[in-house]
Amino acid sequence: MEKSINELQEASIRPMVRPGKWFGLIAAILGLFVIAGVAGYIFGDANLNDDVFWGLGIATFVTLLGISCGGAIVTAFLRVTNAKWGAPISRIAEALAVVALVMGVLVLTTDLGHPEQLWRMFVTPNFLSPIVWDTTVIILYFIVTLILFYLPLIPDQGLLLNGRLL
Amino acid sequence: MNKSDNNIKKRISRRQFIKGAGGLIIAGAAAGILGLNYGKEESIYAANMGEANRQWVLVFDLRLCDGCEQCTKACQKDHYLPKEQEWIKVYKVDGALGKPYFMPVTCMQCENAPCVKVCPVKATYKTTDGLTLIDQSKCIGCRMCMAACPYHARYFNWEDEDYPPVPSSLANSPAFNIPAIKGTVSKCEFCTHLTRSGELPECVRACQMDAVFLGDLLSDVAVNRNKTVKLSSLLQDNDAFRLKEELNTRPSVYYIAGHGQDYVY
Repeated sequence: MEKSINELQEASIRPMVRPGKWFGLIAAILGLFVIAGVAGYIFGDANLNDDVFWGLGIATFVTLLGISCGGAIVTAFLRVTNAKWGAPISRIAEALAVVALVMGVLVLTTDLGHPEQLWRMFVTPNFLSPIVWDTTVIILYFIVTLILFYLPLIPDQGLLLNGRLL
Repeated sequence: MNKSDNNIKKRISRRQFIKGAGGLIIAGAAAGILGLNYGKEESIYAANMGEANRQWVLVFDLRLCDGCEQCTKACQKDHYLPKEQEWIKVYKVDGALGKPYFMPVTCMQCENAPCVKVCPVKATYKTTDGLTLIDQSKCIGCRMCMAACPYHARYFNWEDEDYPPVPSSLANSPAFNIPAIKGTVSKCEFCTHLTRSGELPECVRACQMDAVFLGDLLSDVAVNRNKTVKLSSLLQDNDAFRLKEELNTRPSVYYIAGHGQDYVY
């Protein structure tokens, strides 16, 4: 049952060319989650008060940031130890890192009272504030994870650009 | 190496140069516009900086306070506050001799204010008359200032539905955060809208026991409804103290402890 390199490549790229049979169902379930999230943001009650003013929003952000850093550290170990076999694992880990970080920032933004005023943090920042440094670190970390996500994708890009399968 | 460098140099055509220069001009214009807007914001900021010849303080005489909460009621009425927001809050404290006493706590208007340090957008700031005010139009609602405040003086405007009705003539400004913008932070502002026009704050006017004084450190005067006294001798003669001095926040609210009652810090 030796498979040729072409068959392997085709199998690896097939999900990108045509969706699998569960794709519609999974997309519908995730769409329901999105609708529930938007409804929760508009109509929901985070059960916060003046004594407990940071609640589930901040906790979820910290959790997602932890997941994101977990993905990044897996990639970092694989890179430091120069493990060539780690490319697929690193790809999954970095995809997780990018997505978890974006979700975390989204949760953090919905927790703000006035997210539309956030631009002020970049125009008139107060450099004594921990939040400004938090934002700086998150932006730098996002750039780094994007680069680390992009690097293992270069061979796949080449494969797709060959045009054999598209 | 040299050869490839020359190639790169040659490749910069006129079109590329114009593109680059145009990009620089657009970036410069954007920066200029931002800078102009920044200047405009700074001038609004300056208009709310307060009077230079005042350093407001409040003095609470705990010997006289009987915990009637008239100050809280008057404050909430004047500022159209909901019941949960007590900008002046009267705590009942159990004294060392088993005798309870009352402790009114407002925003301390700290000279070295932790809330001002942590605000990421400079929405809360120090004025020249020693107050800490909030520009609610700038506030992003991150609630970091509430986390930083050691005196629990700040309140978040979670909902605006059950707020008392506010007359439409009132406009929100840093000196008078009424009507409050939903999703921003409010706190005691020493009734800046009243003190700037020479009137006493609501809590000073409402206190039937004359236990609250409004003072000015620069002119060394403390007043309430009936009395005008020398501020420095009022503080020194009665061993006035401030809350949580060890945090180096240098509050502007002084307390005069009573007979046989504990110092709180």
